[in-house]
Amino acid sequence: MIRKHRLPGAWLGTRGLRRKHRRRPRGLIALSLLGTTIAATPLLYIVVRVKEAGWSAAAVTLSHPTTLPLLARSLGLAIVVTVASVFIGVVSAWLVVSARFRGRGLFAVVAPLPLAVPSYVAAYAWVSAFPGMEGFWAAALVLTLCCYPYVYLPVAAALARADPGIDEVSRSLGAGRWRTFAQLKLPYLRPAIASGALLVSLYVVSDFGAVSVLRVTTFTRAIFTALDLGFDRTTAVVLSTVLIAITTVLVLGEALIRGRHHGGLTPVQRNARRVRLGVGAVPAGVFMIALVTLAIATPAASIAYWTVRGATRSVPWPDIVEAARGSLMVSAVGAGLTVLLALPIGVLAARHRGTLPRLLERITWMSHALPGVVVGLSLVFLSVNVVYPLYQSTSMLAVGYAVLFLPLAVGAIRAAASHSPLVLEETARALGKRPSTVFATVTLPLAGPGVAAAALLVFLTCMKELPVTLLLRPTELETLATSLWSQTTVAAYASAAPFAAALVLLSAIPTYVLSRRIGSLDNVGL
Amino acid sequence: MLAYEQGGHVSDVMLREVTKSFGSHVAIDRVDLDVRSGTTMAVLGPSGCGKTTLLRLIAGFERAEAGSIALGGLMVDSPVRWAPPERRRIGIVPQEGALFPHLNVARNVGYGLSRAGRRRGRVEEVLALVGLTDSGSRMPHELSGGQQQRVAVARALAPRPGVVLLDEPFSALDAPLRTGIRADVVQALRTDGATAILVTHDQAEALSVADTVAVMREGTIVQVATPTTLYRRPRDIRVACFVGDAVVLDVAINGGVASTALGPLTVRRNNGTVPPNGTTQVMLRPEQLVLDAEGTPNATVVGRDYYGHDALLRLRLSDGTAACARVGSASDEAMDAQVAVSVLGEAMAFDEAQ
Repeated sequence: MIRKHRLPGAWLGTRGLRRKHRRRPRGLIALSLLGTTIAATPLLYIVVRVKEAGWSAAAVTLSHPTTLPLLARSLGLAIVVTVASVFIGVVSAWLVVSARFRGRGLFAVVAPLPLAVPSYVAAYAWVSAFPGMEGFWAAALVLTLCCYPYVYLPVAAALARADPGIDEVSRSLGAGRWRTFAQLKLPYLRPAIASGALLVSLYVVSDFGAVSVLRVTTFTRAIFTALDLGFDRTTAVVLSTVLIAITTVLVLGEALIRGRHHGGLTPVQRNARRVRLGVGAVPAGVFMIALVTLAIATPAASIAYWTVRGATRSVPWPDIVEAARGSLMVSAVGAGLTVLLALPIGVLAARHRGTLPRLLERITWMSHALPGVVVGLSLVFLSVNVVYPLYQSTSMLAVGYAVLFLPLAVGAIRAAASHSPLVLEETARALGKRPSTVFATVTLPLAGPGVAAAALLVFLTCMKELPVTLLLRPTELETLATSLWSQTTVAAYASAAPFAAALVLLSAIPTYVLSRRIGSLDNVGL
Repeated sequence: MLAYEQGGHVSDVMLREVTKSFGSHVAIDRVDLDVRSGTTMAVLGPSGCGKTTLLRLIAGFERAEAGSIALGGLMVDSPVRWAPPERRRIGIVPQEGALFPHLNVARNVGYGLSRAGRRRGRVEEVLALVGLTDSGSRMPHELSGGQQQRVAVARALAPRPGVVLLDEPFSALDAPLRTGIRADVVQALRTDGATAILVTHDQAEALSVADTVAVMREGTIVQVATPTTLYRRPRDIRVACFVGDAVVLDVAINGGVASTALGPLTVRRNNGTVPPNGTTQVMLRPEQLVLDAEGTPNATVVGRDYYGHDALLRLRLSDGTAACARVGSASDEAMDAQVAVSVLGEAMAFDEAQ
């Protein structure tokens, strides 16, 4: 006699096969090429310039005795900041999502807020509070305090999605809380940690503002100096190739660490019981108070102090309003263009496996870690040689933002697109709708909130962006970031403070909205 | 355009020599299939036999490597012609319903209709058909699993498709709910005169709802028959065991009679003919084994599966063979009890011993 039981994995198995053998979506690939080509422009520019300069000149620059220490400092800073950010990010995410203590709600609101503070603003706030502060460890501290939200947000989202049943089964099998965390939770969080760590390390490698304020000569700062002092484009471009190599390694490394998990969603049936902290409440409390003090209270107090001091003289209200208008305008245009370019790439990455979709997605990362000035120069090169009317226009600035921030948008859109399962689109087509109609009536409405979040994320990042804005903006345009920068370069802390305050307050709004989306955002991009 | 008829009836679905493989794995191997207009066919097979792939080929989510598929007399997939899913006039009911989560019930159901179709009241009509008359304004997440599945069926039926494809639509539902919804859905399909293909791994489901059952195994269709024929005259031992509980005995046949631990049995082949002499396997259904209070004990009770309405008694025959008998729910044989079993009707032999 035979009684049949359904094998639970069988359906997934056929789905895997099915996806692998789907035909290539030509239209989507063509649209994706537009974004990847724009993102790859700086790479092309660098190749052209290095060839112009000649390989031997490049070899001389690369083998110069100052190059290796620069590289070591950049990498060292990236490693220290990434490790520290992962620690802070994972611990705070666990506290917010899985622990039970008084003030949890407040900590949940405050923890991601440093995302609103650009690194050069934080650095400026620290330096103006402690004037002697500079060097490697100062930069490591400031950058960590700015960057840990990049780990915190995806990890908190992943924890919120975790199936509490897994924990319960593990505990029932005799594994303790720690073993459960180390052997089940951490591997589960691995893709989220990996994507956060990638963002942090790329941020550090390409950071210009904070290291300049804190006087640490990293690769990126050296490139700026080479350009600024001697207009030495060859050195700048050759050094940039090293940054591209680092980025390649980091992006591939992230793919390895992430493993074969690919943003799979397990719908959570219920929330896990939060853990009571017990004796752990003391170290947890110290951790949170220290974090909030260092990451939020100190820069906020410093900016507030200088704003008030400056206010006794006169506040340049018209300038602030004008700069805020400029910031909002260029960021909106930048975010719009970036999301538009990222849409086909994100959908392609979510829906199709294979070498080409993956390659197209990875290429968008390549320019993310380039110093803004290299991106800026390559776009100046492009606009002068190919599309001259766009030179020093808002459109070219928007393209610059797109080059830098395309991967953020692609990640968020890929996550959003995977919220609209394939079976819904197939059902819609079976009901007689053409693919374009299906996209408009099913895919887009479902992915819409995620796409909006992607736009908001890019908008926020554009607001904070400095070097590309400095280089590519139309001559008459001032933004909060550029106004702030021109004041801090002359150490006019009191004049800079109101711009910093306005920038941080404006950035805090999208940051708050984004952090509220925890649990519905997937682990990429945010 | 190819129009055709099959035995006087129009076939809404016709597959010829359809083949599909994934890498080196042949999922569908030269399958022929005809579904008559207005009937429901169940495609029955274990997990991984290719039945879902078959459905996806018919729907147009996959393209066949060889062979052809015609729907309603129009060629939709052949080496030289291919129609995308939206041109096939099909309705599909996926496993979990797959309602569009951002649309309410009425808009889900109306999705495949033209504006005129929606105005003509088709939405209300099909919702009534599945027993959800007043639920149009509700959102999918406010519905129970069974209600969601009803809406999915209504949505598939709304545009009056040439064929409705149901992919294990009831497997996610609780057992008590399943039977009721199954009956309602089949009733809705019949009332609407729809042609349907239901893919399932559940033989009870296939036998109870379908007009015709196609048994699939390893990418091929091994038997197409009415539920009665399939159960009574399966093509081979494996089909026999797959579509229901079976008692299989190794016997020697002489002149159409086998001597077994249950006594001499009349044996017929599945086409009604007398089997040749020799040793082979024969099959009995558990309903054919009855307990005989008077007779000489020839089996030992080794277990009992109780179903409420009846029970299945597991037996060990005197020669050690395992067997089972369907008995009334009131019977209460003890474990290890010696019982006398006699056989009603004929045992079935097959063309080739398996």
